[in-house]
Amino acid sequence: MKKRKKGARGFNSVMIVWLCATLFILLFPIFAIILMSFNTSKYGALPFEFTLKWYKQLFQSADLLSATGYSLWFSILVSTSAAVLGIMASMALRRMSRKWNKAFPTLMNVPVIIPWLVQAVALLLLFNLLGIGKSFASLYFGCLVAVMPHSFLITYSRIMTMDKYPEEAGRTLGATSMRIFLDITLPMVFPAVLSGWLMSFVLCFNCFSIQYYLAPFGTYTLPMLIYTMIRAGYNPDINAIATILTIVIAIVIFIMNKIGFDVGQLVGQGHKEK
Amino acid sequence: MSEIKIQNISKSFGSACVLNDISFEVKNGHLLSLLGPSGCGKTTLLRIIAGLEYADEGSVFVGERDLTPVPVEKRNIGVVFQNYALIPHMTVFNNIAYGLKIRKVKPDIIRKKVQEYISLVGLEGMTDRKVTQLSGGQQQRVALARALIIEPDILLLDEPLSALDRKIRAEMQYEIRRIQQQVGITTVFVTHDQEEALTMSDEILLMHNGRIEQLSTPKDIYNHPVSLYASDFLGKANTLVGILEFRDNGWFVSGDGWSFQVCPQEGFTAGEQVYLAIRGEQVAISSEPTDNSAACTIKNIIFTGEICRLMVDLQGTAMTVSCINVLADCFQIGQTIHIRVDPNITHYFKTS
Ligand SMILES: Nc1ncnc2c1ncn2[C@@H]1O[C@H](COP(=O)(O)OP(=O)(O)OP(=O)(O)O)[C@@H](O)[C@H]1O
Ligand SMILES: [Mg+2]
Repeated sequence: MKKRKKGARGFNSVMIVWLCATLFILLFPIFAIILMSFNTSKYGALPFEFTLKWYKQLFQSADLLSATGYSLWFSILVSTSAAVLGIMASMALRRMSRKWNKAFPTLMNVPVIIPWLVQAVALLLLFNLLGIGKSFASLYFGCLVAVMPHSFLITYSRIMTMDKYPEEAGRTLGATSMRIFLDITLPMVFPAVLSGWLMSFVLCFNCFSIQYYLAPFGTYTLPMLIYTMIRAGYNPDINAIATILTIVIAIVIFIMNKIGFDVGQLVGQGHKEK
Repeated sequence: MSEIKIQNISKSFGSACVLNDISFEVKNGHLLSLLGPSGCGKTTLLRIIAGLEYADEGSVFVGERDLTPVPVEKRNIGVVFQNYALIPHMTVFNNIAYGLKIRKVKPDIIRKKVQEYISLVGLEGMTDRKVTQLSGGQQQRVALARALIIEPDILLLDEPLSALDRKIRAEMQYEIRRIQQQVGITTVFVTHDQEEALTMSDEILLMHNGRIEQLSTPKDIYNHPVSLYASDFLGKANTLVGILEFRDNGWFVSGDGWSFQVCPQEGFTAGEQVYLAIRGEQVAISSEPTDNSAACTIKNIIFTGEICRLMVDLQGTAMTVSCINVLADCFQIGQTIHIRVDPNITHYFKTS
């Protein structure tokens, strides 16, 4: 958890201009889309006239909503699997020799470096070979492969830097390893697991290229549907769904940040600071 | 509550031998300090007793029970770790109650017992605080209560006071000793602070490079160190190199321009070169020469509070002697004084 010190020095004016420019470039497209979703003109033409018709259209067309629903529950499934596997791998790896401690995380980093497009094609080849081709199973495993390293690396680095003495104290008090995991280890790594989960969720939601190659025919995740729709002709109800998603995700991140921050403080070893 | 018996414990990490054939006993209800410099294997020994580490050889007995094959969680040993090892997301109450919850004690009994131990360690009113919101001394008390509440057979403390400042430290030394005696629990206490070991223990085990240097009562180990190392570690002795002589019906250690009377010690012969260990506070200082005194010049006077240290030059050898504050006013830098040692508490050791 990064915390800015209260007494940190302020920015100088050059840095402020730089910061504003950066934030503008980062955030302007998002604001533009939000504004356009409320604009009457189909092509984002000015002057701005407020309307909710794109939202109405969105809720009348079943496609976008159902694809959103699919993407949501699918991402939850994948990121939860990744979180569970991430904890299991970290716990196991912690007990292994230093050689594995170094080698395995490096190995796990490989999928992070390889472009998703390459991964997707490779996975499709593999799944074809295995005879499952484009199916739900290949979609699930494909996305899991793509997001798992993130969830694992976040959890693992927390577990490795975590104070191991509370767990040893638990053992001297008579707790079995299962109790220690549930009562002590898990709560201590929970903030990391949570941020790993969130990371996986967002990545899985967005990993268009993998979904595009591996999803079974007839199944549309939201990014796939948007892609198809844009190819057919741009319609501002896409802006509307983008706006809704942006707001929902912003709220989720805000809440997570709050929780993460508090949990982090609770778990961190800040004896001295009150 | 039982005695601890350690037999021939050896332990190596890789090729580094950390503990070498350690054997000792702690009597029922006694507190034994493991004293030694950093890295001498104190923590390792304690962890072996606790069962958190396995010895290559040797066995650990508590009472009549051989604990060597017993896993940690079945040993019923109370451990207070160096950094307290409190469970950070639990309150004071839950930390202390954890061992009882594991033992499936009924909630109302747990509540009563936790209250009892909270008042034993003096933490009334903090029951529902998060442990991260406590001061070092308070966390230490929680750790102690948590270790004691399971009514362990023995208690192990690993430098529990090293993170505390001087004042709380002295307070906690007293508290730990009081609680230990009140509960009557056999305790092993790790420290690298000789003063702490001397004040708190029934017995001190001085370690050096994974071996036992000396095992004795605080008084005995201070007054009769068996080696130069022991004499130096417990109260920083001055070490002089001299020749052991027998003359005028007495034994002396003499060097260049000085000679101090000593007691005969077994295994030494006249004419041998020895190390003479002289504690600064065991030196008698006078301004006039007396029998068997040696002259030296004051180079510096250091005020440390209750005592003053005189840095003196004994014919080319630097020495530190101490005297109580009020006496120090009689001396000035550059003055010549005469020092004499008490033969009964002055020891010498072989040079090889
Ligand atoms: N798990 C380990 N692997 C390898 N070497 C270790 C391990 N634990 C301890 N050692 C080594 O064993 C020696 C003794 O360590 P130990 O922690 O027992 O020292 P200590 O007397 O408790 O020191 P301190 O006063 O600094 O706590 C040290 O040299 C240390 O480097
Ligand atoms: Mg230690």
